[in-house]
Amino acid sequence: MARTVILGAGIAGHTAALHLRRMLPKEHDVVVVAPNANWNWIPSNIWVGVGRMSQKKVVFPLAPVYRRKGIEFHQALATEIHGEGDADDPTPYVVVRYTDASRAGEVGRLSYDYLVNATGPKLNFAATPGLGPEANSWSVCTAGHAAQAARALQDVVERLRSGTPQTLLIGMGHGTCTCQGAAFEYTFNVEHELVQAGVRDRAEVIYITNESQLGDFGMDGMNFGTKDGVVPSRVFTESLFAERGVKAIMAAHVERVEPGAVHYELVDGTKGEQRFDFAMLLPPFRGADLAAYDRDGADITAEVFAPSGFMKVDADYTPKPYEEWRASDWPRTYQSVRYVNVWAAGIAFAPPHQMSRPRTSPNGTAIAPAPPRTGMPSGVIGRAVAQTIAGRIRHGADSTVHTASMAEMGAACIASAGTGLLRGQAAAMTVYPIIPDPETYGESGRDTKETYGEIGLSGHWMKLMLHYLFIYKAKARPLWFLIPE
Amino acid sequence: MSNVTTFALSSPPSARAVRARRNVLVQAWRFAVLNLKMLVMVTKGHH
Repeated sequence: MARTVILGAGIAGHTAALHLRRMLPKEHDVVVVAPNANWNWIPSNIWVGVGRMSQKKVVFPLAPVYRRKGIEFHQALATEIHGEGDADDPTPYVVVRYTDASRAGEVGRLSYDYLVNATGPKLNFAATPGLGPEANSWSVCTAGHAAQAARALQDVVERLRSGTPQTLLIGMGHGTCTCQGAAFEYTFNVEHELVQAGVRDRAEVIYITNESQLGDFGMDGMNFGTKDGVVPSRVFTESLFAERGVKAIMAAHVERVEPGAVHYELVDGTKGEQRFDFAMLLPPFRGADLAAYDRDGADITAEVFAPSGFMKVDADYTPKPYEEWRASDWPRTYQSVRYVNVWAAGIAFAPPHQMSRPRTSPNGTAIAPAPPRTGMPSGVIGRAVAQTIAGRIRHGADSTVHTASMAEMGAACIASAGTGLLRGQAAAMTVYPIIPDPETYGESGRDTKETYGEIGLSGHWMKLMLHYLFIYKAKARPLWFLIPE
Repeated sequence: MSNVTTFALSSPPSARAVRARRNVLVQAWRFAVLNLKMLVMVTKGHH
């Protein structure tokens, strides 16, 4: 009998758990440890954040799904990995602190044969003074945050209706943020709501970003192949900003957020202040606060994890200049550098470097997007890790190692630009591969036949379809596994 | 000097293109095409 413990129940962890359970006979244990009771389809938080979808439509409780599928669930936060056990027993284990009401604060120990770290990001609001819903700006990172943002947005609409001009600032709350796509979506959904409410003319909508130019999306931009030739994602994105009258502050690091104002530094060293009546600013991510110890109890966290808190895996972490970055630097198996029975899936793995060109202001402030690895790549990686573990358990150590390199994987991004079955719009974008590979695809680094973007109502339908499909899949309803990641 | 950039349409979409973005029949076709493109993308990403 083998016991696999999965830390985290987001897209990567939940996907890994469901596939592993499906692939393994019942005598093998699949255990999930997650601090939240609910699963959240995060892409639809955007619609919660503008009041077009209720919070309960984007979450569901995990415990009944896991009970039905025969997966052991611990609502707890993992705090320590002891990959070699301790002085008394070499069995590896993790230390967890329970978060459910009945056992809140209780510390437990869960042993494992195989471990998947899919802890996702820690929302690092503390990186920017004054950032976050407990301080001076809103967020849509969780369903609860999005519901708060929607109420604040409604207040803004009321003030606009009463004739008071308002400035809405949406974007990145730090120079090293990722998930520009989410902020982009929220910007255009808010703009759409203002139009629908008939108050757009009294509102100024400003997007603030750490991208050096629009359309970078943390991926160094893309070149979309069209029948009229290649269109850079910068032109595609700027066109939408122009059409919808949204302004932007680019290459910016938000230094602090005060009530009604952000203070920022630009990559050229210029300092600025932008006043606002409503601000939704995303936080930077860091890894979960997991520590690692060897058998003697010595702290080996620095060996197992990168300084960012993300787990080091089979990537090439040698520091090198942008010009020497290679697609092959990126991991393929996601196996830990220290342990052969530990993997990091989804956001939890440490990327070898960014995708966007790194930039630093004259004051030494890093202003460049961190690489995105949410959504589709997280699911694909979670599944590949589950397949590798299932193979090891069923066929031994020489079984096939499944790979899911982001340098050989495409991604689809549907960025909503307003909701409504007939009035909705979204930018549908595909990119292949995710990691630019100039050696294979020339200067643009990507296959322009399969890197593509278009705006229209069909994109909105697609995003709506994905909402229902992926919640169906996450609930492990009949034939769920036929729905691809 | 303001750090806020206002974007001008360098090549604005034609009136026809803007209408096509909202035309249900055109968009139903684009929906099918997009689904096919995504399916190909997903298939390539699974090993």
